[in-house]
Amino acid sequence: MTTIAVLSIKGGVGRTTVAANLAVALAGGGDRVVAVDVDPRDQLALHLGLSPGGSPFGFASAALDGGLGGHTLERGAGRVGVLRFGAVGPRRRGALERCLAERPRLLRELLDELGTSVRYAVVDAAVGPSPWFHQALASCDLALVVATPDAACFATLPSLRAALDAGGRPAATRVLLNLADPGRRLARDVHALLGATFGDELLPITIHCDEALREALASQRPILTAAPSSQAADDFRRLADWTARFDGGRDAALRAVDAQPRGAR
Amino acid sequence: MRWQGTLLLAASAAALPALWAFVTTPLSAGPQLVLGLTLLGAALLLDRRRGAVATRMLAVCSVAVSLRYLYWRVTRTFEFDSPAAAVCGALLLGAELYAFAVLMLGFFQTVQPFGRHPTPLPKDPARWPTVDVFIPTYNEPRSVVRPTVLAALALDWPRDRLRVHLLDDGRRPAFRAFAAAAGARYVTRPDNLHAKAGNLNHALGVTDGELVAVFDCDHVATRSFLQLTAGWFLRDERLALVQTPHHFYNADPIERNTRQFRRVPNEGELFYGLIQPGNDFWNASFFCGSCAVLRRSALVEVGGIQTESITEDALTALRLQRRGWSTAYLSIRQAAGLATDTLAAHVTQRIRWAQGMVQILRVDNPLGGRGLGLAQRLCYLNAILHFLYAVPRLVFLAAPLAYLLFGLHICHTAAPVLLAYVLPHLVFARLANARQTGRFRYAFWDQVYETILAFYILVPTLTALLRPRAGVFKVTDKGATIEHGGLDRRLAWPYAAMLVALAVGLAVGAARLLATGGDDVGTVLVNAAWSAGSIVVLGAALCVAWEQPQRRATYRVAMQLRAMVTAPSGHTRSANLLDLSLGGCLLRLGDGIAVEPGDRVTVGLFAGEREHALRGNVVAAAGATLRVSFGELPLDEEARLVEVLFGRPDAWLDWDRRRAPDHPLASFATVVATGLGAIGRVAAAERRIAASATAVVAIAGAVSLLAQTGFHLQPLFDRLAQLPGAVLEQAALDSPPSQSGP
Ligand SMILES: Nc1ncnc2c1ncn2[C@@H]1O[C@H](COP(=O)(O)OP(=O)(O)O)[C@@H](O)[C@H]1O
Ligand SMILES: [Mg+2]
Repeated sequence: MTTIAVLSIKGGVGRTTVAANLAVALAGGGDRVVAVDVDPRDQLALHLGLSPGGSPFGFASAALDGGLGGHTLERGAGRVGVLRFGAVGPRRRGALERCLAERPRLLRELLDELGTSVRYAVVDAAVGPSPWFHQALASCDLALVVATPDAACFATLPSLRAALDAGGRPAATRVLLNLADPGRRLARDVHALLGATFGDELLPITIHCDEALREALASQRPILTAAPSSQAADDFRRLADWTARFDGGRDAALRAVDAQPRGAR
Repeated sequence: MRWQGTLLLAASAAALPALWAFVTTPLSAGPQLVLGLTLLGAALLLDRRRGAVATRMLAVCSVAVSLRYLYWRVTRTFEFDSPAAAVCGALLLGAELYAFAVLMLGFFQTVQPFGRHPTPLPKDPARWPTVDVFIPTYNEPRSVVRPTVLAALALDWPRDRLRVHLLDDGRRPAFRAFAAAAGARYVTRPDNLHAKAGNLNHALGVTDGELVAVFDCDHVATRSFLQLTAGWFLRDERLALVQTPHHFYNADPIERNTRQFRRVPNEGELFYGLIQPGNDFWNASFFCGSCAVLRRSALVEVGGIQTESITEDALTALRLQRRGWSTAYLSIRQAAGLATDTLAAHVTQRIRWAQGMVQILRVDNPLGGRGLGLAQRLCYLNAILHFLYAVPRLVFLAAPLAYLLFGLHICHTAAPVLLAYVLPHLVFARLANARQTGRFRYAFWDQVYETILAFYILVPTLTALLRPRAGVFKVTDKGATIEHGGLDRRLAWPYAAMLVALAVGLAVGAARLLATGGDDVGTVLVNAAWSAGSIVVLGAALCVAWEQPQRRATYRVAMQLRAMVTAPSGHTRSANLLDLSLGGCLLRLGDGIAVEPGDRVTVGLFAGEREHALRGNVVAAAGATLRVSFGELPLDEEARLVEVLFGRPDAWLDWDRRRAPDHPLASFATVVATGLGAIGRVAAAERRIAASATAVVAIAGAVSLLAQTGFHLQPLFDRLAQLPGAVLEQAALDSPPSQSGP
């Protein structure tokens, strides 16, 4: 199983959108995929067509119980198995935070319980730095950092670096630009800055700004079924392809990416 | 290598007597025909084998067969019964000797085309040479010049080692402003002395880069141009020039009007595809004025761009080579330009080339003077001789008239003997030539190209030969639009006149056949067939003079690229680019999108890892296809468009990939169809002229018939009855020799 943690330093950058749609796109390839929400705001299930608060069981209770305890995962859009964050009261929440602090790779243990038939786990890793964020970071094989091409997001990049370093860097980190809009100069400039800052860690794939994504969320459907011929859908298919290639030969993929001539002269 | 050369020499020495015997032994028609057919059979077998060895063997055989023909022509057929016939006969033989000489030189020139590869640059860009890019302009519209400048600015080269200069001989304020906004330097001079050469020389004086790259103002470079060309200058210190092909992404008038764009190689492809690589093998490739890099120190040594010829580029290369500098040719299309739009502009341009090249023959004859090797001399000589084709071409076109109209016997032999000698010569030359040029020039099209221009370069080339210093540089019009197509009568009339003359010749020939019975039937038939050939070629020339309307000022380039489009509502579609031009694009969407004509959309183009966004207006949205017009783009967007359209290193590499290899018979059929079709079209459109011409032909035939029969028609009908028998008799090979035309 390959675990992909989708992270951000700032809310509203489309982290949950990316996690949900990447999970659906990966599942479209025929693999078994689970989506796990470790963000107490518990939005992922909504993105995957499940009703909010539909089930009390989730990551929070599983973590407190120290295991899935025989619970089966809910089935979300695109046949993605969903482990939502789940309901947790204020008292239990303190316990949960302590529990996570004690066992930094608890998420990993939960995921391992799912068995080898699950190919990908996509984790909505909450805003960092936070216990949720660090849990996801420590448990993943690939950290996908969602950035947006605006000044506010760019300003968070130093703290992102610090957070990543503090969390003990995962095997691989990639920065994914969401809300890409190359028609706007500022968006272009920030994109170029990201390239200069992150080099090969900036993914060549971007998720374009697309009204269809907002509408898809409103109708609680993944973009792949809501607007399959939109550019955003195409972007997620490409992201899934890239992820599969990354998974297919992690080292090989890394090397190929490194060997690719950079666009900049 | 050396012993191989010695061996070759020895073998040639041994072969010489045999060759001499082969060339000089006379044969009568029958045995000669057998010999010819046998050789042809061998040639066809040889032609089935691939490889350079077979090509060269074919060339050698072709030379031998042609020598045999010419020997026979000179010793056996050069006899005349009147001064007029002698003049015409000498012209014809001269034309044949010219064609043979050019063929021989061509074989030599392209014996081993050099497929030069780029040389890598040092890892450290600090060791790369500094480059000045010169873009000379005089009166071209800004829309033509802008992409060129933007593409030059986008060249992949260290910023601190690259300067782009717009050399504006028109001294236009708008150009100054554009250069400033784009980041190019703007250079003007007080006068316009020596046109482009003077413009470049002035710029040489105010710049100091180690290398100078020259782009005509309509040649838009790919961004890899310098990376691919500059390496050789570091590897070879005596290298003065790297030339790359001139590639045109629009149809030139010949391609457009014959509707053969990208199907039949255009006129330039032979030169850039084969002749320049051939020259490169002999260290004789020359400067073509644009899409080239020069070493400043070499240029300075010869006094800059030369000004004594209106083709300053070729003369400059010649002078560089005389001083011992090498030149190189890299056959990789790294720039694209606009071909002339109208036949008139095409003709003007070619007149200049022809005139300038002939000037060089007088100003600085490559056969004389110091510093050149024999091979270099021959390569330059061939380049110049090529442009002297006007007289021979016109002679070949008109030759049958000497006999048909005036009854002159300009080749003293019987038709069957003539055929037995000339056919192997022609077929061999065709075969051997096709082996070498087939990919770059289709059979029979060379005659079309030459016929179109022969009438027009005749006087200029002869003038240049006699008064080499009289030429004037004329800037070629680019980027024009032809609103209303139709026959360009100003240009077409010589083709039409010659065509009508040949038709009259055919009528008179037919009359002669009828009047004199079968005596001359062979001669008449040979001349008639020849006339028919000339008529077809002239018809093709008429086709070219019939301008097809060309309303678009920007040319759409078919291009496969991933794309996207964003509607005003913020919804997107992934898409595929179908074509792109400086003015707009055509997209096929994954699915229709709700836009209307006039809506403002953003088009994203994915080129490699780069993504370029361009704003435009929807022109038409039909189902899943969307045409978008960019209109006036802001400078940065225009630069991005130029980068996508022209900048990609591989933009033009497989331009001719999908072209079928030449099939001479298919080419023949195409030329015949083109020629006859055009004659029909012109006749239908120019009814009055066509009617008069038909009347002239009919009257000439009738008058000639009546005159020759002395107005006694009864014997005519008797002869008519005998004619079929006479034809058969004449066709028999052992018929008694009689005088005849060629
Ligand atoms: N590429 C995009 N184009 C348009 N809207 C987007 C895009 N990505 C996310 N959004 C919208 O932005 C909002 C915030 O997204 P969300 O995934 O909830 O962000 P986060 O999880 O980072 O807080 C949502 O309304 C979502 O539909
Ligand atoms: Mg969220």
